[in-house]
Amino acid sequence: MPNKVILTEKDKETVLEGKKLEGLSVSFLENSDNNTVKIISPYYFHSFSIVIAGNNNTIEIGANSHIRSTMIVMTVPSDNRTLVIGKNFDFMGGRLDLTSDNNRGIIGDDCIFSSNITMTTEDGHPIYDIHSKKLLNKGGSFTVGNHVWLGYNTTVCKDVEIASNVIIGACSVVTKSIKEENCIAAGSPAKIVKRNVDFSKLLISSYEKQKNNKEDENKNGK
Amino acid sequence: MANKLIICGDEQNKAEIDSIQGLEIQIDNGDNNIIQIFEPYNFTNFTIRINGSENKIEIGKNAIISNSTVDMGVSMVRRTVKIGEFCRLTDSILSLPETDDLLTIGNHCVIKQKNHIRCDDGHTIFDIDSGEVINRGGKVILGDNVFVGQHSYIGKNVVISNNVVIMPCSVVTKGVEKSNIMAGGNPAKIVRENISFELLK
Repeated sequence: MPNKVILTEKDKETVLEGKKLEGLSVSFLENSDNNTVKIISPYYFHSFSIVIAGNNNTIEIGANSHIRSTMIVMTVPSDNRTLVIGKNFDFMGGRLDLTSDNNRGIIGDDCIFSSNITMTTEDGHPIYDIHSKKLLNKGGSFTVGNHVWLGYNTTVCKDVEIASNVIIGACSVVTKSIKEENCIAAGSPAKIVKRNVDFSKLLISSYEKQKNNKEDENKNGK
Repeated sequence: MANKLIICGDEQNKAEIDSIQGLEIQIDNGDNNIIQIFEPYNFTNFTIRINGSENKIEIGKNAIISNSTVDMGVSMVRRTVKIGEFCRLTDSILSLPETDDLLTIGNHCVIKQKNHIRCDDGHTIFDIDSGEVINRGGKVILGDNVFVGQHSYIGKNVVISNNVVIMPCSVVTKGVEKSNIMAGGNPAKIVRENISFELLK
């Protein structure tokens, strides 16, 4: 089966023959077969590139995604990798890396990622115990819940799971899963620094205006 | 009032000009923005992005700025950037997303490559019970003789005093009140006291 780039517009799927969407370049490397890239319209891409080698790899990007200066890297020839990104994804720039067979990357709905983000499913090179020769850094996946904000220059390492409504502070390195919802985690390695919080994509001034309007409406309603 | 780009030899000697070599100014929307630059200057690939009105940028004499951006790309008003004399800024981003944000860099400062200085987080974090905003920003102030090593991040509400060295790859989230110290790490802490640095020509 050939490689395919599929665009869905109003529940109608079109296979793009020329592999070209504005702001997106998809390259399938030599000897790659049966790979699929699915994109749901509307989308906004700028300097976004996807590189795939190997077979049976799938990438799905949800509706209303804004992706800039980003690379999805599957350049190591491996099979059966999956990357699923939810709707309303806003990504300022970075790199999503899926290296080995059966790697899985999942990003939920309404996530906002800042610039200079790196997410990997594996370290890329094996680290092993010199006596037992046992592999020490086996990876396989990353999972991000719904409505997660990754701050500038954040690195998410292998096998990390980030729960919904979590904020990761700037320049953090997330090495272990953040399983609690509604918290801020920051630092290297990232630890929970504040609980019982949530974020809004709005700037503070717009958020407060909206909040005041709502309070006024409630008062008037009563 | 129209947007102004002013170049001065000194306070008395002002002239309004259209463009400056090595500086790209993108004003999307807004008026009454003032960019004031003192001579001499040395700019390469320096970008100022403004959206909104009454924003002010002042750059002192003998500034050497390359590959850097002052980002006021969100439509807001009355933001101020002040960069002192003899400053060097390389490959860095200064972000001021909110109204009334203030960013001051003192004299003889060195900001190395890939630094990111932000006056506000850009999005709102709030307490889920009360809805109260908890990440209010507003200003970043760097004193005189401050050296910021490469790949560092300076966050909102940080005030750094004079003669301070910020180590490479640091994340400065709280102010550094003491002078003559070296700070670094994520989050940045004081690692050495009673130091000073000299700017080589």
